[in-house]
Amino acid sequence: MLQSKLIRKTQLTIVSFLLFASGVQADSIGDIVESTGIGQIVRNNEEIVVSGAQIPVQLNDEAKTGNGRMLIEFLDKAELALKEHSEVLIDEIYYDPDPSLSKMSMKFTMGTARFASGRLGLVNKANIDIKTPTASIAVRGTDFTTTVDELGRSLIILLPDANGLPSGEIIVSNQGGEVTLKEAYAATMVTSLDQSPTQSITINGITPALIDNMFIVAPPPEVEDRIKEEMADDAEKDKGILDIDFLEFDELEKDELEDSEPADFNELDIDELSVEYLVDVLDIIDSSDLFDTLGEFDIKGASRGFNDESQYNVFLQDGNLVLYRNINGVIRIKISAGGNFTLDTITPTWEGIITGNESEDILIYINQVN
Amino acid sequence: MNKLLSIFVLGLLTTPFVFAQASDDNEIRIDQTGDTLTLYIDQVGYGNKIGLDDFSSSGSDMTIVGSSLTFDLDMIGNQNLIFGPLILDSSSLSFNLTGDSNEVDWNIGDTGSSDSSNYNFAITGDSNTFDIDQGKVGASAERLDADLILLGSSNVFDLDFESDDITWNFDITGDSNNFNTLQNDGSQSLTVEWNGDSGDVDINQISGTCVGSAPCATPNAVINLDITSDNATIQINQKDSANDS
Repeated sequence: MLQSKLIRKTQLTIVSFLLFASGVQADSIGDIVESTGIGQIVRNNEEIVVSGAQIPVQLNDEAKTGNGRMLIEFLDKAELALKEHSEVLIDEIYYDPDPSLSKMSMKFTMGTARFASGRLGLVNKANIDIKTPTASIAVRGTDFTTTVDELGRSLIILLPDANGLPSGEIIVSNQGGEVTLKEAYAATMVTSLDQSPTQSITINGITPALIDNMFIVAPPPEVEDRIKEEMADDAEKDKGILDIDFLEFDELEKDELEDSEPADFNELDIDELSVEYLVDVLDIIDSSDLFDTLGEFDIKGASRGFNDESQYNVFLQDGNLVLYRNINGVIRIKISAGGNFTLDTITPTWEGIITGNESEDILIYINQVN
Repeated sequence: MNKLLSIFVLGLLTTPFVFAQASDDNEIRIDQTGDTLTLYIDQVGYGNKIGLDDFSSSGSDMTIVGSSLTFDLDMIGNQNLIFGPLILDSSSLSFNLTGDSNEVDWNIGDTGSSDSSNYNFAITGDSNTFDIDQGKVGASAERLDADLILLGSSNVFDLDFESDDITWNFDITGDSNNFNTLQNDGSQSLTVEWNGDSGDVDINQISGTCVGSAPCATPNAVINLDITSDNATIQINQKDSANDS
């Protein structure tokens, strides 16, 4: 008795499933209205050859073309045209009396396909979702093509309407960003899922009929140029945090004062803190080989700017030569332009002679004692 | 010999002036004690003397002692002599000399305080000799502001300032001038404008210690020397120590 009930229940379940399944398969969402050459529909792992006759298209069908073309018209009069060697998966299509609840989703996986949204308005444009391996396309009542190569790179072109005007807008986006195509034959190239689509480029001298897989082999020159430009720009930009070499950061090691031109050294450049109070006299070297030319002065024993050994700051002021030293007392000597001098300095930290114009017209002896 | 002596004395005098005249010179002896004196002396001529022949610090022929004095001395002429001890505290001294071969020998504050003084010297002439000493170790001498403008040649200056916190500026234009200056103690600042050939300059600056507070809060020594010369010898001795004054 119990065994009899189980058998009957199983039979009912199988019948219900078959009814449901046959009901779904029977819901056509459109038809293949044109077909030339080789084409097929892959449905439930079953390949249905398209031979020119009108074949209903159902949910989850995968339309493929070989050396042929195919045109599918959906219930809302939206059209999907496949050129040679193209593949499109009809992912989700629901038609509801309320267009906002309707949905259309397809994946353009290979080749060149053209999609024109339906004239009947059964599906809100916001609910139309077209995908390629590298991009999503949001449709705003438009007619466009996609060309996808084996690597998933996608070229999307917005087509004009019957009047030659833009057929609307499409927004192409992925993880790298988005771009909006607004002009007739405006195009963008998407090379990877995380690489932003190129900026909109308008392709000149083409018609919809010319758009085919050749655009994969030889993209329009405008597109090629744009890709090259953006690749060059990307190379200049930040390459990402993993590419930053923090060991190259040396801003803190840069001494702006040191880098400034010595010719710019003036009284404002004197760094009172740079003086060295503790100098080993034994380490003092003969600095007589130093030579510099400042205006009308040929200086020996010092050079323009701050001199580490003598602690003299040497600079020109209104054509006059100034020697400034601030160690245990300030000595500032200004020699008028062209003056010949010998400055003999004896201090606890430095002894030396600085001459100007190799003469002794002005003899200055400085003896500084702590 | 032309002798013109004009003396204007204003203020409270506690001691009368005594005038004496040599056979060939006008001679003035001043013995004055008191505060808030304003003294003007205008002297024109040559071979005149103020303070007689006593060039020593203990001389009594030109004794001016006081505080808050204004001493304005103008001399035009040659071969004049000025000397004597002055004790000028918180005072202003203005000395204008036009002439050659004059001699000035002053000791200011040698035996008393010479704080907060302001001296202005304007000299035009050649072969003048100046020996001015201000302050003395053991006597209070703080805050001196001294200025000298010299236009002339072959002058000899020996100026010794032993005072805390000295601002000392001199501007020399002329050849063969010989200049010797000492600044001793406290905070020292010296500014020199030197225009002339064959000069001989000796600068001694010892910063020492500060007795009072600001502006001499810490001892320091600053020399600012601006030279235009075809031939000059300049000796600078600068000593920065709190233990040497």
